[in-house]
Amino acid sequence: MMEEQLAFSREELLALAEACRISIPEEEVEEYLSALRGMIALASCLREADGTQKPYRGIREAALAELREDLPEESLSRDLLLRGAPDVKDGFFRVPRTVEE
Amino acid sequence: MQKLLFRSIREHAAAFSGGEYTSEELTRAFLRQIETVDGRVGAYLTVDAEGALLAAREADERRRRGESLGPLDGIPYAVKDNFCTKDLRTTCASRMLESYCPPYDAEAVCRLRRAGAVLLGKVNLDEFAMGSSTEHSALGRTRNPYGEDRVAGGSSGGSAAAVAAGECVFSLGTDTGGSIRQPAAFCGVMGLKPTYGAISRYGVIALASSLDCVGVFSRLAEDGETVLSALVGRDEKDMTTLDVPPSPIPDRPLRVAVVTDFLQEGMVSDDVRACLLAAVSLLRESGLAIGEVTLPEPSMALAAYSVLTSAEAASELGRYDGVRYGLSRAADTLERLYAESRGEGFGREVKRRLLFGTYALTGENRETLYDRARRVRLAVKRAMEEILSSYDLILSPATPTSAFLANARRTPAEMYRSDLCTVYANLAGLPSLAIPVGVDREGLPLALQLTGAAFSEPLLYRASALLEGKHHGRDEI
Repeated sequence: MMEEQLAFSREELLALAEACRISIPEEEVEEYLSALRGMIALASCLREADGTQKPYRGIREAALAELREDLPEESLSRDLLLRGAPDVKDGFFRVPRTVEE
Repeated sequence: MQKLLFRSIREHAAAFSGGEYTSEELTRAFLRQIETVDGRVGAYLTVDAEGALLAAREADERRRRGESLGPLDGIPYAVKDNFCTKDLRTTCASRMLESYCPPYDAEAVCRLRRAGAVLLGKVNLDEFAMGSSTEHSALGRTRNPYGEDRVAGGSSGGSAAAVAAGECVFSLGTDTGGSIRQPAAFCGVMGLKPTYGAISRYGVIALASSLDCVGVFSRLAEDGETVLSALVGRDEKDMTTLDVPPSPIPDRPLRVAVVTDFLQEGMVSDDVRACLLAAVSLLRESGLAIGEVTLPEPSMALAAYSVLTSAEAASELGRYDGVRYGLSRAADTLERLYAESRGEGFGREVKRRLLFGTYALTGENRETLYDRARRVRLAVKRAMEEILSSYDLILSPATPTSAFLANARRTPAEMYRSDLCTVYANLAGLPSLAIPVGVDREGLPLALQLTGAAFSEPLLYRASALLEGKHHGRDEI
């Protein structure tokens, strides 16, 4: 367990942060590293769990069988939805540019 | 005044009908209580006095016309700030959503509106429901009404503290791994996590959808049962909800399984252990059949819970990126915009869990952590169901200790141990009720937990009478 904890490196943390799209200030890196090592140690017993058992499949089949019909119905009005928008243009949400030139 | 605030729903309804006081007068009394004590308790993030008084006057008007909507008509309550409330800000106690004002109500809030309940305001939580102390709120700490130096528990700490401090009659919270039962235990009130699928989560901001449940805080079992009956049932907007009638209550002496894992040295505090043993004696004296059972390894269950919630949270909270939802920070590239928005918008506990959740889903960890956690979850579910095929109820502590000190230096892993007793019911999707049974040597509340078969909530509430202590919130704040 200790080996696994220590094996989680600063480089792995920074790669994880990039995958998560979370910036971590340099002065907090050690703190996150220590916390993540603790969390990995807590979970490491799972590696000893029986891998041949069936996994839990999440939402029950009964519930899946009860999906509502896919029919158009009245929804919230455009005006109501746009009321909370940080910026609006021509009746649409205006967001930061996501397609770079 | 204190006694008025601590009356039951039935007593309030009788007082409305008998002309002793109106819903408006009762609502004003709660608003005064909030003004008086909440500076010290810190349960509320937003108080909607105007909306509450309007709803109370409408309830009084309906009653005058003989058109009362039922037992909850005119009863003031509070809701955790991860439930969407129309035109009332919904923050999740996060900088990410600090100014978010939803255009619609969560289904649970809709159902309570239809029942005439009066919404007083929104109460505090650990950011995005991640935590066990309500210290991880970006908008302030909630204190335990039994001791300001103690935490209220979490993540629904505001919901528990508000009920305990007489700042509402009942409240709603959410429970993913103990977030209702643990704060209820710490604050000396009842907290129910119902069967997965019993109450719609539509409009509730998700932490981990395969585990999240909406539930109820109350001072009394009968109040909890009344609120629950207004909330349960199928909702087309949440495909996991089911219309299942509650299981019938057996008309023979109940069979109770006591979880002995928590009696082992070092698992729970001496006071909690003594409390469990005293309850077992009490139940035996009452003529109940008691048996001893063990559950799948607690450390394994806790690890599975921790991996599953973090992995699901990493996916659920992906939408808060500064473009689709949440706080947005300008940056020179799109990737920097995402990273700066999420880095600044989320607090440290949320970031830790998102990092860990991503770790558990990355590379070979997906098989050795995430998939193994799903296998452990099924094993827990089967073990619980097997116990409940021979017993009506499973009795265990609700928490390993009473409320711990605020600002205590605890590692995240130590903090997660607070959920040790509660995660089983979430992994198995079963209903579970935290019941205040007394106080420890420091005067802090202690609670036990009853878990039953799916849709056995009425049995849990009725059986709680066998264990209940005399503490139902603190009437001297």
